[in-house]
Amino acid sequence: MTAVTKTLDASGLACPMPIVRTRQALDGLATGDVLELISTDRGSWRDVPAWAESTGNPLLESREEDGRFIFLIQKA
Amino acid sequence: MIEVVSIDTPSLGDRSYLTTDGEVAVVVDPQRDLDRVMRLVEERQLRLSHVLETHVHNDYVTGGFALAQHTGATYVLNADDDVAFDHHGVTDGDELRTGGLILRVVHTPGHTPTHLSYALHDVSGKAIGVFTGGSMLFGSIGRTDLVDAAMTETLSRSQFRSVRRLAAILPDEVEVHPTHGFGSHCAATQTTRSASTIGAERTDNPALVADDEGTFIRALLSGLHPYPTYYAHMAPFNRSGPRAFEPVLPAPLDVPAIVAAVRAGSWVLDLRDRRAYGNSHLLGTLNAELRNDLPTYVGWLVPFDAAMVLLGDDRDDIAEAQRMLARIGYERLAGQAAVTELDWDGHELERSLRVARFADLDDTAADERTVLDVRDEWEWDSGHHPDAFHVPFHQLADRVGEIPPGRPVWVYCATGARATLAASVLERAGHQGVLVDDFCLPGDVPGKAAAAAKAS
Repeated sequence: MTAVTKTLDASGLACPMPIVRTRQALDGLATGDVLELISTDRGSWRDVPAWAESTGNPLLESREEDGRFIFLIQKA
Repeated sequence: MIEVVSIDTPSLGDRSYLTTDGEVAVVVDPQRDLDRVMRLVEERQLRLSHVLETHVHNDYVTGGFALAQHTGATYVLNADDDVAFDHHGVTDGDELRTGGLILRVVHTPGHTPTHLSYALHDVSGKAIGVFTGGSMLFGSIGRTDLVDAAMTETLSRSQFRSVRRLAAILPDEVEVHPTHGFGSHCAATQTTRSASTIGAERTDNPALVADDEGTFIRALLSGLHPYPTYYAHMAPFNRSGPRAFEPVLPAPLDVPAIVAAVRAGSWVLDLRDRRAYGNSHLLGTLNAELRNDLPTYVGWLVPFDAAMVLLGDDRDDIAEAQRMLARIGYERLAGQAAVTELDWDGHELERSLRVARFADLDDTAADERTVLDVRDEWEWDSGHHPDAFHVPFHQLADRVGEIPPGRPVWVYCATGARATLAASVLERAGHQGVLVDDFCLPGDVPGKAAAAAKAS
């Protein structure tokens, strides 16, 4: 189980807000910290890995749970 | 023990509610796909006695009329609501008693003139929760510009007073259960909480913390973003007593039938991921990715009563899209097909759409392409590509003629979803589109010229 530094619940937010909030949250973390993002936006399943790759912040885990999409992103 | 169960519709940013004492149930603001509510009612063996509407909805087709018909429940709306069907009309101060549930009607105009909230009490009279519809939302309020431009200021004043009234008559611990929020365009601002109480709202609800009514109204009106054009059709549809959504797909089409549909002017929507579409698609089909925003973008682009054909990866995706679109009254489905079962390789209408990134755009010269930003005004205002031309997505259908012909159009948005749909619209109109599948978030200024300027 990866240790989570901070959880960002972006449930209910519509595109582009989940990514906008994720970026803001990661800006406030230190290298190596892990952000847990919770989203209900189906588009996140595609956007979050794409954004993580584009910005070089490793996506450690992604899963779907009861209609919510959960991601663990590490700050590079 | 009274329970409130929330039934979420994330693609519209809406919630419906079922409240029960364990035997009897009341449903508030149900959506059109009744199977979700009926499953709850049947699993728990409840008797549905009432279906309540907080207002005649502007953002979705109600399932209330059909649900009441189907179950024999009493259909409750404001007595002043102008609707085509029989219903139990209520007014401010009325009380509905059913089993161990008491619901008190509070007239809370603002989002609409006849909008009601329902305060839930147990038989001892203790207030437990309040169904606030589009009035008091989580840290926000329902927008007041959906009825008539001439009424907006009056409705804004009413909304301020309605939210304050709810906070005045209900104690802090009462749970707030709004219908709108969660990404809905009916919310005046983005809401972030997923649960709340009257006490929590006192700390940051704009209507409760504003210094005065005037300040509140100015802030509310200046912060409103565009709402989907399909909204104009919802209230009339709801007033007519809409039937339930039937999850039945039409027969699958083959490639010649799909081509015929395109030629006949049907709106053929390809639900696949932008890369699959970019790799190979049929000219004249539009890339409306299956995401929560599908109803919003389709509602902005496709005429309300247009015939549609859905193409998707598989039957499940197509059925999901059909359900999402039916909730907003888009139900003229003329056909569908799973792309995995089709072969259009080498067809004269087969096309591919180049998928690129901002770094690729940097390698092109300004006079050899057009750069198109399809984000909303507030996103554009926060920063944009220096060479970009701006047409907000919701205006694209009307303004596509403004795009200069004869050179590729590189289209971008915040994450690429609106852009791929826009690029396919441009291609259908005869342009050569390039999809910038990249990120341009609020505040970003993409492009190497901008980066160089920033570095120096």
